[in-house]
Amino acid sequence: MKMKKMAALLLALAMLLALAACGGNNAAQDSSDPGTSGTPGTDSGTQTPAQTPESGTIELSYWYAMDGVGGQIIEKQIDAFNQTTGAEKGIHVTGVYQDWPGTNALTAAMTTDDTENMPDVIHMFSEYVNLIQDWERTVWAEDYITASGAAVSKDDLIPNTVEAYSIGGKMIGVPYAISALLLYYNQDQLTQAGFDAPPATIDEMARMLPALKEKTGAEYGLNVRLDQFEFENFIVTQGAAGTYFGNNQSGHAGQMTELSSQEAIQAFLTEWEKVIASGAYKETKDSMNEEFAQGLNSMCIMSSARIPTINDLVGDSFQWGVAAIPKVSASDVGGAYPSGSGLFMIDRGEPARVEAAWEFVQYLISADTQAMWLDGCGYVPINVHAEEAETYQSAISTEPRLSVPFDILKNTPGSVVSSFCPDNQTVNTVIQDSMLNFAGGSASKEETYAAITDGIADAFADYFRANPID
Amino acid sequence: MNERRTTNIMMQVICVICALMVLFPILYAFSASFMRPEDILTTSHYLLPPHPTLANYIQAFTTTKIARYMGNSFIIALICSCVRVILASMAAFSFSFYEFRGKRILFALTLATIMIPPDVLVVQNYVTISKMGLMNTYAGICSIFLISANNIFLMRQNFLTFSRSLQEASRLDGCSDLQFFFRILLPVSRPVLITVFMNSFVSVWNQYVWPMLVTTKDEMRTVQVGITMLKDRESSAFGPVMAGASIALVPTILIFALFLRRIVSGMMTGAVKE
Amino acid sequence: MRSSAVRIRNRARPYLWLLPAFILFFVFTFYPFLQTIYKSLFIVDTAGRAKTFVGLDNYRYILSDGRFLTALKNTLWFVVLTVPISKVLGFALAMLANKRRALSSFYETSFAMPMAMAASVIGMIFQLLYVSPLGIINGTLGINIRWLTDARYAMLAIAIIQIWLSTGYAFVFLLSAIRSVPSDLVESTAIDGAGPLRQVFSIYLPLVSPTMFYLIFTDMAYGMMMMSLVNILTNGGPSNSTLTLMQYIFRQFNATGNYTNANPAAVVTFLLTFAVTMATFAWEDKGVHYQ
Repeated sequence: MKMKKMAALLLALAMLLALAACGGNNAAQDSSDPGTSGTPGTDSGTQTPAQTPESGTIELSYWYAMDGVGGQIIEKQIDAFNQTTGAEKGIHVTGVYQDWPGTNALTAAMTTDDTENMPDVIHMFSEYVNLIQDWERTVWAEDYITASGAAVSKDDLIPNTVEAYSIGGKMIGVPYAISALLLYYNQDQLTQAGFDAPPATIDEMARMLPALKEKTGAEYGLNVRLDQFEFENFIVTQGAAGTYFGNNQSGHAGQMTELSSQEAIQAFLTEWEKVIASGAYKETKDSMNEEFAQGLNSMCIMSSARIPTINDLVGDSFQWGVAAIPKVSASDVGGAYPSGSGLFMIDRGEPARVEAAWEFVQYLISADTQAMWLDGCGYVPINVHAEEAETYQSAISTEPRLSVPFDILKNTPGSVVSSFCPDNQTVNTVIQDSMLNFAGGSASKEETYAAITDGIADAFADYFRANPID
Repeated sequence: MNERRTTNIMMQVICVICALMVLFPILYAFSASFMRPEDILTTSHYLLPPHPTLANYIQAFTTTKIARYMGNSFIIALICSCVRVILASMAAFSFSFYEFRGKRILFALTLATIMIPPDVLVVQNYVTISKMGLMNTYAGICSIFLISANNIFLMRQNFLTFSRSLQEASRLDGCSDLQFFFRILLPVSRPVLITVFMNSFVSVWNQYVWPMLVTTKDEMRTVQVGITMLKDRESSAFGPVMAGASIALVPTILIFALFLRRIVSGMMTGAVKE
Repeated sequence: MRSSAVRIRNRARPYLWLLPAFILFFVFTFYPFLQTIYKSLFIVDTAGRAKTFVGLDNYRYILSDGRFLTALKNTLWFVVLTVPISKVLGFALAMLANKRRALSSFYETSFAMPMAMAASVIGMIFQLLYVSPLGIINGTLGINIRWLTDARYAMLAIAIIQIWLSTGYAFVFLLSAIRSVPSDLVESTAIDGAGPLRQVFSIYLPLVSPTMFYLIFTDMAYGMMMMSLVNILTNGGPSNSTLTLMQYIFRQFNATGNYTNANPAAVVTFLLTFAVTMATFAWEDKGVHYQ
């Protein structure tokens, strides 16, 4: 019977695969686990990539939550470390991909205090700092970065990126993959509509939008969905020295428990109403990259991380540029807050591992490693000396636009930082929905303001009911 | 006669049109896996790649260990589906051929497992697996997929259609329950066993959250995890993901092509209908 | 009489057949769920540890949470949208494919293919198809609907994907059930002058009812706990129009670490799913024919 033959074949294939996979698994285990043979009596079922005094190599586990090109660059950074500093100091790092936002496996391990299955270093988005802020295993970077022998000091880093990872003046983690919110503009369409430069203020932008729609092939002058990320950027860049979104310096000097930027929100909504009234603003996020690259939207507001993608998609079809997002008022400081993710160290119970972890973290935030972001990613090197690195210079010469976010962040004061906002997911939803309703015409400016402030207050109440402050 | 032939052809045409409609998303994904990023979302709405490229497949194979992941998924899916077939047929046998105290309650408990949201159990199950020292092992990944109340339920539905005489006759012939189960019930239920096998294989193959959570080593990851690695949060690059999805689909399509004919030839035949 | 009753001497025997299944159920389903029920009576910290006993207060709290009620409404709507249509379509396709023809194996496999797809993968594929205005659906149909970003269409868009998935699943099971309808039975009614439509209602539907019962039951339970598609495509938005019960729960404990709300919500979801699916058992007694 043909069927039987096929089934037999399939089974044979399966067994072959199983053998191959098991073999591979054992080999991998052996190489990473030479120490277990020396410790008889331990539970053989657990496979700890434990420190191995015999061979002198410390095995570190590094979890990162970045897919695509970013993930590939991270793997390159890990390889570079293992071949250089790692080889010298007897440290070997293994990268482990975790799905965005990368906190699932960590919270599971936290629940059980399962140190065997924790990372030594974790890459995490700053929104989730709340999760590990009070955790006893979190190793604050402050003591290490201020120590006399540290290879990287706070002065080497862009000031506001340091602030972004500090609580009460002490760094909990270090900035790592940082981006800045930017205005992307289609220079050809701008010229066609009679403008030479991108708008500096929202008011100016609102006045430009109708012309962009009418005089060019674009369907909309501007495309941006205002999530917490975009919204908060417009709030915190107000005033001469920035504005904190919430109290306790937006959570950087104690727990953020309420909004403190009511006036700035009002001011922003007043200006944004003009953008909506222009009739040339697209408020939803569909395929922003592609729509911009096809010339459907003359301008859009997105993270600097997308510069390489836009470059690939646009090709030679038109001239485009990036600039700081327009200011709410001409007297504002403007710029952008450093957004993105940082590195955090975890104490798994062995001091030597923490020391090794710091070696690795230092390497990742060094000028050369940070410059590697520019090789395919739009992340901003947070080390000010990155400019001197060869990788940086060659990347900037082929894609000069990549220097824009770097310069913006360097020139934005340290007080312009994002909030450590409790329950950022709900806050994000509240802002997104309110701003969509505002743009869609179903809510007035006053209603939008109330929806945002009330919604955030509710989200905080919800959070603090479950996590009361002692 | 001629008229019948026309209807036959007409019916086939209708079926093929429907088939293409159903297949459309998959075919498009396959087509997109050969497109350059700038050709995927355009105002020209290409259905076929205007400039076919293998770049997405090259990326899938070079940036992730997708072959290794497929191997892992295959082993896990195979183990789980075999265990499920055995355990589910045993349980369904008990539910459909015995009368005993607590039967209704036990069956209700079985069905209740279908109604318990699996995602809320994940963290607690992680604790169990980690305490058993099964992190980063096939046993750990398989653990929560070894039984499915769905399968028990399906088999019960199937066994209940058997004529009562089947078992009575076998008892008169001096068959023990064990003999009845292995010699008569399972052979005549082959279509339903294959269904459960196929269904389990596909569903375990497609699992994502749990295998991700209980593995912290690249070499233990599964194919669905590999696909997410090919995503790119910033560029929304669909090409590599579609390539990964197309690769991951190959084994399931093979399984379907192999087994589907067997099960649709009559799952609930009941063999000895009166 | 539904079941073939058999008296056996050894009373333990039926339990032994069930034992392996129930050990697994206990360890990986009942035990963790009992913990969830227990912890739902407490304020629970971000690490999942029970802190302060509050009794049923957590339940009162989530039941007065507008988002939870929205999630409940959306979920029920999703079930109503997807379960009946996918069964009708699955049955129709199975009737179409019933008779074996030259191209049978091609279209049978095609109809069944959705069953082979992972929800996460098909979610991404449809995301690509739906995108407005550059996606294929809007492009080829010449329409401009913001499928995933317009609150009026988002749930419909998600439901279409689920219908696509469930139809394939239902097709496989219904085709095999239809094919096992004895042909002499069909022929005898044909001689009696029954048209195709009457055959469907008087022969096919009653005889496939055990399969149909299984499909409806499992699909309803699945629909009540749907999350993966929304997580990929809309994340519950716009304006909470696609927020489902499971997503409400997931959002609470994932990243926010709010188990205080997640635990009671999970218990309520279980009870609701139980209530909804039990309604099908009322039908089993009347409408399902096992022989």
